[in-house]
Amino acid sequence: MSDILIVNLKRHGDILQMSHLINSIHENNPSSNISVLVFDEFKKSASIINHVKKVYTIPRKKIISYHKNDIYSDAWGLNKLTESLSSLEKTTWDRVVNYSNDRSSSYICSYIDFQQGHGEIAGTSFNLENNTQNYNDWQIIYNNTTDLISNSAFNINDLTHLMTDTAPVTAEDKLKTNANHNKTAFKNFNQIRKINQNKTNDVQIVGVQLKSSMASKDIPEEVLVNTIKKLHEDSRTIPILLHSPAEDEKEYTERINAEFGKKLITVESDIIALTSVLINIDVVITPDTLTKHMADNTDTPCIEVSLGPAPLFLQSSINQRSLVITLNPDTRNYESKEALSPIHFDSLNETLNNTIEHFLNPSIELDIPGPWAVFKPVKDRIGTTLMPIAGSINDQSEYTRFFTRGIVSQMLTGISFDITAFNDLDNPNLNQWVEDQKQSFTNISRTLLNTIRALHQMKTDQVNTNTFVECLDILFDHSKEETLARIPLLIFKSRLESLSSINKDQGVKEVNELLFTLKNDIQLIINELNKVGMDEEIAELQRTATGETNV
Amino acid sequence: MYSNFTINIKETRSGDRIPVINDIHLHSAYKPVSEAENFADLKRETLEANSNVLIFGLGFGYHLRAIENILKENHKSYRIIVIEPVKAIIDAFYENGFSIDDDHIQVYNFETIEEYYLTEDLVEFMVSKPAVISHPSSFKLCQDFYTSFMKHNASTNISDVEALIKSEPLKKYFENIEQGELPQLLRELSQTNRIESAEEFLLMSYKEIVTTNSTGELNE
Repeated sequence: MSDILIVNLKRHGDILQMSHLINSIHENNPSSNISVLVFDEFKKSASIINHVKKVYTIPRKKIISYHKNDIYSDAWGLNKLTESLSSLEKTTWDRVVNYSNDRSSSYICSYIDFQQGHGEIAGTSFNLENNTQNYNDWQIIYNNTTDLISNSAFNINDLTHLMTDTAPVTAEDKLKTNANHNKTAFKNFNQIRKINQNKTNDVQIVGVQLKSSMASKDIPEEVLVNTIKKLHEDSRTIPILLHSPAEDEKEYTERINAEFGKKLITVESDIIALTSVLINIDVVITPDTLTKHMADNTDTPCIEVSLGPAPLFLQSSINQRSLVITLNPDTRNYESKEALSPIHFDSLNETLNNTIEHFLNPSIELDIPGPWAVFKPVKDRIGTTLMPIAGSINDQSEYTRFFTRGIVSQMLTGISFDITAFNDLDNPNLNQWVEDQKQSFTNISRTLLNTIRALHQMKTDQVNTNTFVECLDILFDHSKEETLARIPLLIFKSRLESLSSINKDQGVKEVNELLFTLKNDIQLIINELNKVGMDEEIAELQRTATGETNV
Repeated sequence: MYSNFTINIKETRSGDRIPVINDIHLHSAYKPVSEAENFADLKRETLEANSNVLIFGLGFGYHLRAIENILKENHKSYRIIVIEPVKAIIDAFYENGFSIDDDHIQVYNFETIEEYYLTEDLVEFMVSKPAVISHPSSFKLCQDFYTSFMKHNASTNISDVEALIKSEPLKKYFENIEQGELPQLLRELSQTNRIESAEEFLLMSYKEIVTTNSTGELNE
C-alpha cells in the first residue's frame, strides 16, 4: 500500500481537472492511499473528488493577510504555514506529485523531500543547489506551457499523466455526489422533460452556464439571450440557466430570465449539488469555468465557448462529444483582459447556433463564419487532442501542432505516430508547410553545428567562449519560433539550465552530450518530415529499417 | 500608558452610572442607554453584515450591550473584542457591578501597543477582518493610542520574528543565523545556490506564496 501526496496549489478548475489523474492512479493501483494538498479556499473542490483519502490545506489568504499588513509580524503567517505542513509530516510519503508545478508547490515538495529523504517527487522540485530538477522531459514541456499556450500540442491532463508516468484510465464516478441531490435532480429533470408537452419525446435539457470568473471569458449577454431564445423556441431543447449561490450571479440570472418573462428554469447550485445537476442534463453550454471541468468528470458533453485567456489547447473539454468554439487560434489574444468586442457578437451568435444545431444533428454540416472555428476533442494514443472541424484556422499552425504532438511523443515514448494522417489532408498548403519547416531546420542545424564547433574550440581557446555563448543565444532564440524544433529546443535549454557540473571539463562533456542529443532529435524530426506525402508502404519499410516500433 | 488617569463616577438623571475622566464624560450624562442604542443603530448595516466586531473603548459598556443586542438578532454566533488601554476604566467597570458575557466578549488591555500584537488570539481575530467600531468618547480620550495602534509597524528583525515562531526547527534555524531582517534573508535565500536545511525550502515556499499575485487573488 503506497501513500501518495498530490500538491495542487491552483484553483477550482485545475483541482477538478486533477480528478482524472487521481482516478488513473487509483485504477492502476487500487491499494494506494491518495491525499491532496490545496489552498484552503479551494478545499471544496478537492473534497468532492473520489478516491481522495485526506485533503490537507494551506490557509493562503490568511498568510497573505498577515504578510501584506505591516501591523502584523511575518511570524504569524510562517506559523500558519508550518502548522499546515506539519500535518503532512505525520505520513511517510512514498510518492509526492507536484501537480501545479509552480514555485510555491515546488519548494513545498522539496521541503517534504528534504525532511523525509526517500520518497519520489514526480514533478518539478529544487535540488540543494537551488536549481529546478525535472522528473522527466514531459515535465519540461509542462513547465513551458505558458510559452506554448497559443498552439500547445498537449493538454494539461495528458501532460500530468505523462509527467507522472501514469497510464490514463477512464472510469465513471470521479466525483462524489450527494444521494439526496441525485434523487432530487433526477426527479426534477425527468419531470421537466415530461411536462414540456410542446417538445419532442427525446427533448434535450441544455444547461447554460451564464458567468465565468472573468469578464474576458464570459459569453456576451446579447449572445446568451439570443442563444437561449433559440433553445427555448426549439421543440428539441429545454434551456436551464445555471448559476452559483453568489449574489452577482443570482442577479445576472434574474436579469436574463426577465427577458423571457421569468419563464425559464433556473438552477442554483453549489459545487456539491452541481455534480448532480450535470449528471441529469444532456449538454451544457459554458465558457471556460469549473462547470466545464466538472462536466468532463460527469461525462456531460459541453459546447464550450473559449474566450479571452481561456487556454484553448491546454485545458478545453476532453469529452469526445464536446465541441469547442474559439476565435481563430492564430489571431486570438490570450492576454486580453477585455470582454469580447461587440463587432464579434453577430458572428458568435451564428457560430453558437450552428454548433448547437450540429450537436443536435451531427449529420448537418457545420458552417462557421469567420473569424470563428470549432474544434472537437479526439482521443489518440497519447490522450486527447483538439481536431478542427470547421471554420477559420491557420492550416500551417495546425500542421505544426499535430506533427509536434506525434514527433515529441515518438521522441519521449518511442511510440511512432501515424504520419499518413498528413497524407490524408489534400490541402495544397501542406507541401508549403513541409518546405518551410525544412528551411527552418536548415537554419537551426547550421546554428547547432556552429554551437558544437564553438564548444570544441572552447576546450583549447578561451576566446571562443564568447562565440559559444553567442551560438547558444541564437539556438535559444530558435526555441521561440513556432516550428517543430521548438519542443526539442526547450527540452535542451531546460536540461542545460539544470546542469551542475563540478568543473569545466565535465561541463563541456555534459553540454556536448546534450548538443548531440538535440542533433539526434532534430534528425528524427527531419526524417519524419521527409515521410510526409510518402507512400505508407515505404514509410513502414523505413520504420523497420530504423527499428522504430509502431503500437 | 494611561496610569495617571483619575476616574470619577457620575450618576445620571436616569440613575445610570458613567465614568468621567479628565472632564470627558465617556457616556451621555443624561441617558447613556438611549445614546448607546442610537449609536448602535447607526452601525446596524455593518453589524448585520459582520458577526465579528472590534470595539475601541470599553467605557461602562452601554454601547457594547447595544451592539451585542444587534449581533444577537442577526447572527447565530458572534464575537466582540474590546481594546481598552486604560486599566482603571476596566477596574471601575467591574467595581461598579457591570459584567460581560465571556463566551462572546473579551477585553484586552496591555501596557504597550506591541503587546497587543504579540497576542495570538487578538491578531487572529483582527486578520479575520472584523467590523471596527470606535466608541467616540473613548477614542477622544485616548486618540494617540488608537491612532498608533492602527499604524503599528511590526518588527521584521529576525530575533523578534523568532520570538513568535512556534515551530521548533524553524525557531532553531533563526537562532543559528546572524542577526538581520527577514525580508533581506528571504531575498538572499532566493538567490542562494546552496540549500542547507529543510527550513530554507520552507522559507522560500513562504516567500513564493506571499509574493505571487500580491492582491491575494488567484485568477481563474
